[in-house]
Amino acid sequence: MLSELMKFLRACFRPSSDRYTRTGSDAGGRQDGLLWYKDLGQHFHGEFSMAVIQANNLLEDQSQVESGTLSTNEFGPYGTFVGVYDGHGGPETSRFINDHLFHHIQRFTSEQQSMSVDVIRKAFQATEDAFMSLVARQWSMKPQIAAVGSCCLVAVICNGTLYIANAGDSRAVMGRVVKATGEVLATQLSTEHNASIESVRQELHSLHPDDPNIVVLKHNVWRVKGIIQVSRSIGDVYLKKAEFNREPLYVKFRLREPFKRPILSSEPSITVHQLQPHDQFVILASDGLWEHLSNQEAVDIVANNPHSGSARRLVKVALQQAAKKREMRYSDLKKIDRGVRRHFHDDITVIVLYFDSNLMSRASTVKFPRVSVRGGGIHLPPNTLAPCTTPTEIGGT
Amino acid sequence: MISAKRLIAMARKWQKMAAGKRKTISYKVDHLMHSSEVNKGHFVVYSMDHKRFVVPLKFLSTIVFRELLKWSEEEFGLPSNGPIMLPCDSVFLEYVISLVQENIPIDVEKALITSMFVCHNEASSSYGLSQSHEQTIIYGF
Repeated sequence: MLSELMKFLRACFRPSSDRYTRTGSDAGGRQDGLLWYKDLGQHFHGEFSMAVIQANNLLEDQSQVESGTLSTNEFGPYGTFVGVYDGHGGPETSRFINDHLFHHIQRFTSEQQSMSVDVIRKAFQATEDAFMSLVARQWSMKPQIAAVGSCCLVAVICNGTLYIANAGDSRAVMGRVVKATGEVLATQLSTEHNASIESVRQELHSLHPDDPNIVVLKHNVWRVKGIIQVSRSIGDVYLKKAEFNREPLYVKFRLREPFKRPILSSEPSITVHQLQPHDQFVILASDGLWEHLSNQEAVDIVANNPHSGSARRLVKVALQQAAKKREMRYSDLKKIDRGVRRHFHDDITVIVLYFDSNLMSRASTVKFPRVSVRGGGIHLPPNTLAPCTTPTEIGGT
Repeated sequence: MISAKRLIAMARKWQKMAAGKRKTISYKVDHLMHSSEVNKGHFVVYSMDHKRFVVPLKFLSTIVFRELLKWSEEEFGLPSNGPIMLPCDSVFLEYVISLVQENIPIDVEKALITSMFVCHNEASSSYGLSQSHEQTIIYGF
């Protein structure tokens, strides 16, 4: 345990060390201290770039790029699936989504023999149901799992159509070139469910007309029931089923009055876009990025730089902003250990998907070698549910 | 756990420091406003009475600072757009920093956390009366 800890500290204080490089090549991505990145990969319709910076003691952000067949068989349809899962309260839900959502997508695509909004909606629901069953099974052993949840942002490209499905406050932003000027403009494709947005608060009030405290402003932050900022998520079973909102769950998660209707929903908002030649790329990222960068700032950075390393570049700019807000140097911010690092910034996941106009017209029946990449992080045995830092951990140094 | 006697002795010492040494502690309030001017190897926290402290990064590995950050999170949530504020006043923070700087033994550090807890509870229930620093601190003993 102690030696593991020492390895960590060494990695954190020597960011250039490649001690944590998981593979020699760039095939599966590289780990550099708390940063994981895959600078450039190939998907069915072009290139992609991916980067993750860890701040939490256990990485709560999970992500994946799956390209190739979107069904359970080799006949396709072929396309690309991308997921960004921003967990809260622990890593269990986001990891669960990473392990199950895409399989449900493949299963429903096979059943319906095509990709559709309905396939994605069903896959979200199936993932939510499976996680609820897991919570029911584990409740007596570790009740805290009822208070773990995750935002879920998905992009699927199939037959020239881009589907964006979102539950929570991650965001997908498209970079579109304006022919006349050559400018690349940002267009947000995802609908967010954060109580800071007025329409989300209105939706909550209309769904819970008998509860004036369904959203509460606390320290300048709007929270559903004064507890959570997002109104939709996978997991967070304690706010969906009253039977899990009781002892032995920690008091701070328990509501005073039993509720009849689920407070949070797992229903994704889904938008559909026919991709055009002027659509250059889409950035998918957890809110850790968007709290430091505007949509247009992020699009400008991607549009004005090479494809390779674009996700890592966005993470770097976000961390520089975070350092500025905390009134410290970026070089010092990078030295801070996971866990305590969460006070300086959130876990951040960024995936940039480029659309190659030559490949966009490729039929979804064309076979393509399977690509499957998962956003990394320092992996520890998943035996703890503690969402916060363990202060004793660093005591020996 | 530390004895009550020891705690009382500490509280006395603390009171004395808070009253007497207030202007002589080396890590006193800093008025730098731009991040570029922050010393290398330091981070910044604010006390509840809006005083700015520039603190060495290595303090982040002390139990005392980790507890203070945890309480800050419970009290204010994680800051998204600004600097870190700790849920205690500048006198108390100066004292904590001076102790951490002197490499205090582990039992004193534990006692400090116990007394911080008292201060924290007081602060969360009665803050806003910024002139009552000393009283806030002494209450718990």
